[in-house]
Amino acid sequence: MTQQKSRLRKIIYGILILVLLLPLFFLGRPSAIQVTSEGVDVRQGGILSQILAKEELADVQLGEIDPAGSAIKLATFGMRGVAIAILWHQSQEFEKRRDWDNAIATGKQVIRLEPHFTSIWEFIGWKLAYNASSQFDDYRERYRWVIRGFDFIVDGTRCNRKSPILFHKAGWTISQKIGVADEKEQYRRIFREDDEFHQRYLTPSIADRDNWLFGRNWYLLSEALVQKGANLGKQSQELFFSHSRLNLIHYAEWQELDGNFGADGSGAEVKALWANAEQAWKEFGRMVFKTTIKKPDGTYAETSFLKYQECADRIKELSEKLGNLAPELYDKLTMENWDKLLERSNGEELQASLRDWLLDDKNKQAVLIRRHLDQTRPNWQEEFTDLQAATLQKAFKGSEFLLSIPTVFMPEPQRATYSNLLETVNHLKKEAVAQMQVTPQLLLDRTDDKELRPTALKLGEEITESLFEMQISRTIRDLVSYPHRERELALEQQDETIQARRHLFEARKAYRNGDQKESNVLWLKAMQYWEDVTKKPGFKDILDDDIFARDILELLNRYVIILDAEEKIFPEKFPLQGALRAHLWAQYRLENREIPLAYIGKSYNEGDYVKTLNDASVLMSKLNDLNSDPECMKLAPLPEVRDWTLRTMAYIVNCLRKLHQPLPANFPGKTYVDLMLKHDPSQHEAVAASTEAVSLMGSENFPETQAAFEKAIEKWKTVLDRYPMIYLQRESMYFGILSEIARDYGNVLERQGKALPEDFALAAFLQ
Amino acid sequence: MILEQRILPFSQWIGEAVSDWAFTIFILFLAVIFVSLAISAFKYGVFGSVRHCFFGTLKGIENFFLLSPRRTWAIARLTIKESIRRRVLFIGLVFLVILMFAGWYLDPNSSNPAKLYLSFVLSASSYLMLLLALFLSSFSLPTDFKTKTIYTVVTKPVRPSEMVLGRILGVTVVGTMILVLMGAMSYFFVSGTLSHTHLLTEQEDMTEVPLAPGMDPDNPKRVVLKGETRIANGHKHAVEILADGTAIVEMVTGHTHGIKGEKNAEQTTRYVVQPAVGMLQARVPIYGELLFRNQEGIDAYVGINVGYEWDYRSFIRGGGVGNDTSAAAGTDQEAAFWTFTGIYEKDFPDGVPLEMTLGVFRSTKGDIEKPIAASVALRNPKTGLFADVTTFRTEEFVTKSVFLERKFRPTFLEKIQRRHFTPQGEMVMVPPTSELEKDASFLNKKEIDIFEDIVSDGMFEVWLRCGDSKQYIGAARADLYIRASDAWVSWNFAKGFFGIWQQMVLITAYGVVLSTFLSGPVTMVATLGVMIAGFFKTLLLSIALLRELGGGPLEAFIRLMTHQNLVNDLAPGLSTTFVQGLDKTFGGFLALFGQMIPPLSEITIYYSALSSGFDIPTNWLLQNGLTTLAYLFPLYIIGYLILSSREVAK
Repeated sequence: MTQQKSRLRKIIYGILILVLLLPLFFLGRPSAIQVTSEGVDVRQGGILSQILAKEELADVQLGEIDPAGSAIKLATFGMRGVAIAILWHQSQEFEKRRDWDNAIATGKQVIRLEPHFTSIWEFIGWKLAYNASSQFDDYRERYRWVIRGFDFIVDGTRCNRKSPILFHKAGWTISQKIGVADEKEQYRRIFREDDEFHQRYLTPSIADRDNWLFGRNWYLLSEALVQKGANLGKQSQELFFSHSRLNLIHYAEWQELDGNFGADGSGAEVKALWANAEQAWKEFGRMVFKTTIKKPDGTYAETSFLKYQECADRIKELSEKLGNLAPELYDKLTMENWDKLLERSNGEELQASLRDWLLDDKNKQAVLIRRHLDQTRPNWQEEFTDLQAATLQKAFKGSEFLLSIPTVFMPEPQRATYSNLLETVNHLKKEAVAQMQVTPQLLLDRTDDKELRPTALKLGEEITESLFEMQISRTIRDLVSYPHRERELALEQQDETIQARRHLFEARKAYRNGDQKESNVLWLKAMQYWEDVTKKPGFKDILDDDIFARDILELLNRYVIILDAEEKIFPEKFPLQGALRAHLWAQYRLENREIPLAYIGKSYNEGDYVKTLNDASVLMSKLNDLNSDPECMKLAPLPEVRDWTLRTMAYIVNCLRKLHQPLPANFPGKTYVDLMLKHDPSQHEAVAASTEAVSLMGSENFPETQAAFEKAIEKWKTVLDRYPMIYLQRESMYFGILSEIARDYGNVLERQGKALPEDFALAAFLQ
Repeated sequence: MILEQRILPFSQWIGEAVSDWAFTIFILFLAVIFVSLAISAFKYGVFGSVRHCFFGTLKGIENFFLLSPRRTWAIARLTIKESIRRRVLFIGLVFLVILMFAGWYLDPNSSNPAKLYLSFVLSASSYLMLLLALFLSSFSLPTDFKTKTIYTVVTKPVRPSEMVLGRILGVTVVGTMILVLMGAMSYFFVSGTLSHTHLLTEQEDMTEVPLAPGMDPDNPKRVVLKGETRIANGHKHAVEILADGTAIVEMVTGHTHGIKGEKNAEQTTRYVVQPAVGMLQARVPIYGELLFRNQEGIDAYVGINVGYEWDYRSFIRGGGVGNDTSAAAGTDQEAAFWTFTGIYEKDFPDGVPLEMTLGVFRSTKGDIEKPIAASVALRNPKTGLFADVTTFRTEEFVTKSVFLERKFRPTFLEKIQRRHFTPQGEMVMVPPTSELEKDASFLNKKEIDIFEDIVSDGMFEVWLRCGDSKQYIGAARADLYIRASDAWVSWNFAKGFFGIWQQMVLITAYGVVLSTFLSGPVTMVATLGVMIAGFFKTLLLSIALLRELGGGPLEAFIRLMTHQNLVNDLAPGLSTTFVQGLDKTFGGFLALFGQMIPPLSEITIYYSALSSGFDIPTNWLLQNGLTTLAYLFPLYIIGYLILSSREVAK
C-alpha cells in the first residue's frame, strides 16, 4: 500500500516537473533575430526576455540567468578558469586547422563562461572580422566574416550595455574594416546591397547604408555612454571622441570617390558634407578634456583643441593692452631694449636675426624700431641679410657653390654645418625676441604711478596663465592631428578642390571605359584644378600631405604617359611642379652628385677609362633607382637629377667608345635617357632643322642648302653632346637620321666641288 | 573531410594488428604467471607455487571453456534489472530535454548547419552515454559487495568469469537500449531541424530574361525567368527557369531544392519549392594517391609550404599563363596529381564523378573580384597521354563537383612524362622518351574516351593545376576523390552511433574490471581517469615517445623555467644528459602503460566523417570493432583473475 502510494506520488512529481518545464520553455526563450521565408523577423522571445528587454535588464540575457551558461559554470565545479583555458586552447587549435565554424563555436563557449569580460568579446569579434575574414579567398565570404565579427560585438553590447568600448568597437569594425580594407570598394558595395543586414539593424534609408554613417551611429552610442559617466578605461578620450567626427570626413571623401557630385557636377552637396564635417570638427575642438597635467593649485588641467588659438589671440591682446597702459614709457623701454642688444658681445648678430620680426606691421614694437632704423640705417634691410649671408659664406669658404643648391643636395658634413648654423640663427632670434619683450615687471620698475601697478600685475599674471594653457592645448592637438584636419577640411571645401576631384573621378571612369582621349583631357583639367588650389594662400605644400599626394602623384604619373604617347616635349615647367619638388625633397633623401661627378670627370681626363666606367656605372644605377619611382620623375621635376643622369651616361658612353665596347641593351638608365632624348626640345629642334635642310636638297641652291645643313648639324652637335649614346646605337632611328644627314651634306659639298671638313662632327656616322 | 592520418586497408592492417596483439597478450600472460608465481611462492613455497599456478591456469582455462551462456545471461539480466530499478532510462528524458533546449543555441544560419547539428548530437550523446556507462559499471559489483547480495550469488554455481562477463554484458545491453533511443531522437531532431523550404512567387521574386540578340527563341534550354527564393534558415538560392520548364537552383550550404511549377486557375504558374536535397549526405569516396610535380617537373611527395602552421595541405604555384590554363599551360607546370586504381568501365559506364575541396593562397592581391583559376586534366599513367578537361574558378571551403564525361573534347592534348629519381640518383622518366616519340597520331584525336585512352589497367591520374601566376592552390590526399556512390544516410547515422557504442563498451569493461577490486566511488574516479586519458591517448603516447617538440616532460619543464624556446637543443652537459635520460626512462614506462589506455579518440573519426557528409567505411568499423574486442579480451581475463582471487568469490 505505502509502496504504491509512494510510486504514485513520484509519478505525479515527474509529471508536474514536465508540466512546469514546458511553460518555462516558452517563458524563458531568449529573443533572437530570425530570418524566415517572409523576410526578417525579430523573434520576440519568451515573456521573461521581453520584460527584460523592456526594463533594459537584458545585460543578463546571456549572462547570469542564461541557462546554458549557468549550467556550464556549474558543471565546471568551480574550475571555470581551467575550463576557459582549455576551451581557449581548443579554439586556437581549430583556428590553426582553419576550421572557423568550430573555432567560433568554442569561442562562444568561453563567452558563456565569462559574458561580462568585454575584452573577450572584443578579441573574438576582432578575430572574426580581421583574422578569419582574411583567410578566405572569396571577397564576398570575407565580407560575411566581417559582418559576423560585427554581429558578435553587437551581441557583446547586449550583455554589456554599459561598456562604451564594445559599442565603439562595433562602430570601428563597420567603419574601418569596410572602409579601409583592400577590398573597400567591393565591401562598401556589398554593404549597401546587404538587405538582410540593414533590415536586421533597421537602417532607415538607402542613403544611410554607408559604412561611415552606420559606424558613426555606433560611435555616438558609445559617446553617449561616456557622457553619462561610463568608464573609458585606459583609452584616450581625445582619440575616442575623434572617431565619430572623422567618420563624417571619410563619408564626404567617399562621396567624392564614388563620384557623387550632383547632377550639374557642381558638387554643392559634397561641399555641404564637408562643411558639415568641418562644423563637427570645430565642435570637437571646443570639447573640454581632462589632462594629466597638474596645475599650480594641484588640480588637473582641462583644455580643448581650440584653446591654443584662443590663448594665442589672448596673449596678443594682452600685450597690446600692456603697451597702451603707459605708451610713452613702453616705447622708451622698447628702444632701450634695442640698444641693450647692441651692448652684448654678439649684438650685431642679435639685431640682424630680428629681420623678419621687424617686418611685422602688427607689432607695435617692431613698427617703432623700424621707423628708427629707417632714419639711422636706411640700408638696414640689406645689411641684416648680408650679415646672415656672410656667416654662411664664412662657414662654406671654398665650397660656396653648395649654397646655391638645395640643402638636401649638400654632402652630409656641409649639410650638418648648414643646419647647425640655421639653428644658431634661430636661437639668436629667439633670444633677441625675448630680450625685446617689455614685461609688466620692467614697466613697474620704471614707474612711480601707483595706479598702474595692479593692472600691470594682473596683465602679467594673465599672460603667464595663457602661455601655460597654450602649452597644454598643444600637447593634445597633435594626438588627433587637429590642425592638419582643420586645414584639410578648409581645403576640401574649395571649389577648385572639388572640381579637381570630380575631374579625377571622371578621368578614371573614362580610362576604365577605354575612352583614352576623353580621359587625357580630364586628367589635364584635374591637374590644372590642383595647380589652382596650390596657388591659394595656405595650400602651397599640399603634396606633403599623404591624402593629396596620392591623387596628385597619380595625376602626374598619368601626365607622363600622356605626353609620351603624344610624343610631346617634356616641358621645363609643368603644373604642380613646385608642389612635386617640395614633396620629392621631403620624401627622398637626395644626395648631391656633383662631387662624385667631378671625381669621375677627373679620372676620365686622366685617361683611366676602365675606372671611370666602373664608377659611372655605380653612380648610374643609383640615379636610375631615383629616376624610376615615382613615374613622374621622368618629367624631371628636379632638373639637377636629370642633368646628373645625362652627364653620367655621357661618361659611360664616352668610355665605351674609347674602349671600343658596345652599349648593352639593358644598361641601367638607358630607358630613362632614351625617354629624355625622345622628349628633349633640342632633339625636336634638330629634327625640324634637318627636315628643312633635306627639303632644300632639290632646289639646286647649294650654298643655301649647305647653310641649312650646317645649321642642322650644329643643332645635332648639341644633341650629341648631351646624348652621346646615339653613337653606339646603330639600330636607333637617330643613328639612321644622322647617317643620312652626313651623306646628304657630303653630296651637297661634292656638288660644289668641296670636300668634307676634317673635323666633321658627324664623321662617325659615315662608316 | 579532413583525414590527417592515413587509415590502412583492412588486409594490410590485420596482419600487423594481430601479431602485435598476440605479442602483447603473450607478454601479459608471462607477466601474470610471473606475478602469481611470486605471490604464491610466499604462501606455498617454490614447488607449491608451481603446482598452484598450474592448477590455477587449468581452472582458468576450464572457466573460460565451460562458460555457461545461460548463467552469464542470468547475471546480465540481474544487472539490467538493477539498472532499470535505478531509473537509468531517465537519461533518455534528459537527452530529450537537452535536444529541446539545444535549438535555442544552435544557429541554423551558420555556413554549415548540418555539420554543426551533427557534431552537437554526437558529442551530447557520447558524453551522456560514457557517463552512464561509467556510473553503471562502477557501482554494479561494489553494490553487490556492499549489500551482501554477492553471497547469495556465489552460493549458486556461478563462475567468476561468468560474473565479470555478465556484468559487462548487462551494462552493455542497458546502454545499447538507451543509445538506440538517443540515436533515433537525434536523427529526427537533425533531419527535422534541417529540413526547410523557401517561398518563391513568380510575380515578386522572378524577373523575365529578355531574349538576347541572336538567340533562338524556341531553344528549350533558354533561361526565361531569373530570380531568388526568399530567405529561410539564413540563406536563399538563385533560381533560373528554362524554357522547357526545368528549374536550376543554386547550391547553397551544400544543398539544393527541387522546384515544381503548378498552373493555377488564372493560368499563371505557381512555383513550389521542394524540401532540401543533399543537406545530409553519405558520400562513398574512392581516394587516390597524391603526388606533386615540383618546379623542376619532378615528382615529389609534398608541394610548397606557403607558411601555414597546419601543413595538411601542400600547395602548387600557378603557371605563368595568367587566367588561361587551358592551352599551352606548359607541360612543366607545377601540379598536384592523384593516381586512382581499380577504376573500371562497368562501375562508371557514363563517366567518373569527381569531387574536390581545395585551399587557395594568394601571394598578391591580384584581381579581388576574380577567384583563382584552376584546371583539371587526366593522364594515362602508361602512355603519358595528357588531356585537359576543364578550367574552373576555385571556391575555398566549398566542395566542387566535376563530372568527367566518358567522352569529351580535350582543350589541350599532349604527352607528358613523369620524372623521379631512383635512390641511386638516376632520373627515371615514365614513359621513356623513346616510347613517347613513337606515336604522334594522338594529336589528331578530336575526342577522348576515358576508358579507352586514359584508364589503363584500372589506373589513371587526375592532374590539378593552378592558372594564375603568383597564386597558389593547396590540396591534400583526401581533398580530391571519386564519388563512387551514395550510401544510405540513416544507416550511416547508425554507424556513427556504433562508434559511441564502442566507446561505451570499452568504458563499461574498464569500469567492471576495476570494480572487481575497488570500491564504487574509487572505481568511478579511476574509470573517469581512464576515459580522459583515452581521449588524449595520442598526445600521451607522443609525449611518452618523446615525439613532441621540446622534449619530454622534464626537459619541457626546464625549458619553461629557464625561458628557452622549443626549437633549440639544450646546452650539452651532464645535467642535460641526465634530464633526457630520465625522460627516456619514464617515457618508456609511460608508453607501456599508455598502451593499456583505450583508444577512445580514434573512434571520433566516425563523427568527422558523419558530420562532413561521408559514408563511414566498413574498413574503419572492422578495424575499430576488432580493436575494441582486442581490449575486451585481456580486460575480461584480468577481471576474472582478480575476482577469483577474492575470498568471497571462491
